[in-house]
Amino acid sequence: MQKKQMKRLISIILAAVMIMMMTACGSSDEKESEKEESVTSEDRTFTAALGVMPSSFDPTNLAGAGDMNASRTCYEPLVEEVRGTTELEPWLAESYEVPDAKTYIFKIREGVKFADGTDLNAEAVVYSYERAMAFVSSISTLVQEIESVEATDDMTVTIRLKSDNSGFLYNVAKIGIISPTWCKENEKDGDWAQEYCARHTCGTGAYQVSGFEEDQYYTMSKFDDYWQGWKDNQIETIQTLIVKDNATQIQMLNSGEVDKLQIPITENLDILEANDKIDVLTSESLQTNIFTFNTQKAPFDNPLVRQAVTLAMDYEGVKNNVYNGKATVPTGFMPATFAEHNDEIPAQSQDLEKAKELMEQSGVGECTVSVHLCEGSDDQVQMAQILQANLAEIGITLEIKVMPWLSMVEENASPDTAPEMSALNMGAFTGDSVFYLKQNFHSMYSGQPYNWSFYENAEFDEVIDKATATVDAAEKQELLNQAQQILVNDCAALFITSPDSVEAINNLYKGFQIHPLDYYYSIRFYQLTVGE
Amino acid sequence: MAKFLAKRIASLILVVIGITLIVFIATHCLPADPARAAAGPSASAEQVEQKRAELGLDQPVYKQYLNYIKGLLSLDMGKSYQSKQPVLTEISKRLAATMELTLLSLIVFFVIALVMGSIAALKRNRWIDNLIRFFSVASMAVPPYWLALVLQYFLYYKCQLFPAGYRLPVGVMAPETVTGFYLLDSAFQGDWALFALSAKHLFLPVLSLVLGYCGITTRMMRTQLLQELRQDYVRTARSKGLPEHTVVGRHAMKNAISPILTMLGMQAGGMIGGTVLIEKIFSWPGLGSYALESILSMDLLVIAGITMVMAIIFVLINLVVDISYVLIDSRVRLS
Repeated sequence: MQKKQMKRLISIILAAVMIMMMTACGSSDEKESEKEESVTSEDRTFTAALGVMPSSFDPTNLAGAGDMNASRTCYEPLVEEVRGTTELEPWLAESYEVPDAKTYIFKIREGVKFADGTDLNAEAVVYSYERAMAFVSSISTLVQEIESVEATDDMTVTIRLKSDNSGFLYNVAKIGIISPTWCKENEKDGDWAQEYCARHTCGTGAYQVSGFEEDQYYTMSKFDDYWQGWKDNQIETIQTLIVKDNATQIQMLNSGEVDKLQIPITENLDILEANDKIDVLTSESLQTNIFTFNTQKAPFDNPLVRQAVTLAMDYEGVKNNVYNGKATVPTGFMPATFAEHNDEIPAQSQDLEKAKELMEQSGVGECTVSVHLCEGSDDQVQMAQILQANLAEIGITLEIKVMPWLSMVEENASPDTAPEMSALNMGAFTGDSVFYLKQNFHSMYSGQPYNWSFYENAEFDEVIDKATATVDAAEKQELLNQAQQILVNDCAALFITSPDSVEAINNLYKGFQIHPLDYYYSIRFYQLTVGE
Repeated sequence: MAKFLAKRIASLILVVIGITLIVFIATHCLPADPARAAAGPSASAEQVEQKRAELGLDQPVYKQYLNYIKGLLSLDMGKSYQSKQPVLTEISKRLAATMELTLLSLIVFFVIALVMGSIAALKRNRWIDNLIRFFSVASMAVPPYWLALVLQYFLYYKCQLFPAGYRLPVGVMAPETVTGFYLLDSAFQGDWALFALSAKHLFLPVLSLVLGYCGITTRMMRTQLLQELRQDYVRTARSKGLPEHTVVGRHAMKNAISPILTMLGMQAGGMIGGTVLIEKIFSWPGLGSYALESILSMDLLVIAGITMVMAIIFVLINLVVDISYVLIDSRVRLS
């Protein structure tokens, strides 16, 4: 009796498992219909993977690559970055004038419509800029120098700055223009429609957000009245799937479920390169990974120790072991991809004997320093481990500590609380090479993001201030050459490597170009075509 | 019973107040600035201060706390610093996803553990017992997230049998919300195709959790039942000629199950809070991964909201466990 019951129980369990498996596998009809559906929409639907759901689709939210994926697609600026370069081209402004480094005049393009059907004009541009200045957001730093934005006539806007900044156009390229009519309709308690804009869009961009499921996906659909028009073989719908796990993203690209990833893929290159449906593209980046030297704290207040560490580092080891050769040994802080890079600066190189001599000359003797790294950055850990081995040879013990990003920001507010070294992977946010140097080493940013070296050099400040003010390209280049050389001479930080951007995309889609800005992962979907 | 429930609800209120207080104090002690996080990584000191004032973070902590409690009374948990959306809306969207995953896993693994544990005890030292013991040890040794990766690799990537993740495929409309559980809601609507699709998406995450969690419960069930079977009352029942299924099912099993329920209560709480890795691997839009993102971005009101919701669920689960003692064993009285 007992046996019989047990057998019955086991049969029930087995049957239940089989039913579950059958349900899970789905009927063949269902599979067929799913396939058919994907065939009809496949060519026109591009599926991208993102690690995190954008916290907001608002044009003022450019906090990370994930956020930009939507906001940079739906909203367009007056001038735009030419893909793959730091150059600018007129966009919603058909032309612009820069009479001096304080005044910017934009002639707005006629015939451009917002997704709500209203027309783009000077008033819309003024509203978008006023909105960007009204509350603190990730683009506040880009508009903080603006003194006034004025509609000179229906289609002309004049922006005046508080002080000279010849690089301001690079900031303009990040400010998306939003429909004022739509925004005002959706305002709540004077919030500039921030709550509404977080999950809805109304720009002039080629695609607008058409649906989303929180933390699962969002969809952008073609805006039929887009001012540049449409060709037959362009993408109509973009599905962005939120795939939080890197390994899952790779599997999904490999299986064809997604067409592009948004994660560093250096480690998985061999898997992707073996797939004939995937193009793996590599490009030099606008990023230099550095370890700052706290120049106001021993032992790095001594320039000889900074020089010794710079000479002890195994740059080739980092390039080959951390980035599988997909990196460049830096020549100063500014990546060589910037047009304004000083080509006369030689690449960093290791010389342990010289490093030991410099340590002896410094009189510092054996010492212990610590480097703080950002949680989740495996490359920083590997770089620190290589440096740890190198420094041991010149009598410096390196302690490695990994911590949350926000804690690093907090401790680097003052040289007293900051560690001797902090890791920063410094990618350029805009194409402004002057700002790239200024933000990291000008004394006005000491203790603020990102002069975490607390580097204060009056000569460097002066050169950078002049470069900010001048509109003369030759003079600017000369000043930038000087500034880059000063940083190398002073060993203002340890410039370790410039990693390449490596991207993988389904090769059904043509026209993709790696863009060195926007944290490398952004796509201008409008440029993509299905096939040639 | 009514007195017991009233007492428990009163303690629930105290727990909520205590939890929110602890969360507020703890988050203010962290070496990270929520205003800085909300203002963006490149914000100047001036902009950070402006943001601090905008969010009310410039007020003393006790004032911030009192304002928060005042809001709670009208079910207002404030707005997320990051998404600008009401915290309650943000949480409720994700809570159903997490609850569907964990409750289903709990039910499945409880049934499996009960059945396997009982079989192992009744067939002690036989091949099936050895097999179940081996399975239990393997299950305890292997973390659920590793299992999840392996299952995903074989059943999604290699065999294409199941989806890589999500609650439903992109573009498929979710069922009309009644409970927020897609399985139940699609069944209520009578949409069996959607039910099957939801089940298909649930299969891998549930399987990972079930396989990862049921080992210890199976083992415990086996031990408890073996212990009960050695008791005098079992010998008496057998000597009185009661059939074996009555001895085991009606007497031994009832007594063996109480400690298992206690453990299940604890596991349920742990599972709801601990599905974060499973949610990440299967891109499950649940509360675990949202909590992690909120902690990393120092979204204080969201952290407080999630912690509070988790605490309430934990207390409620324990209440259900306590009540189930009475239902299973009439000797137990609630007091």
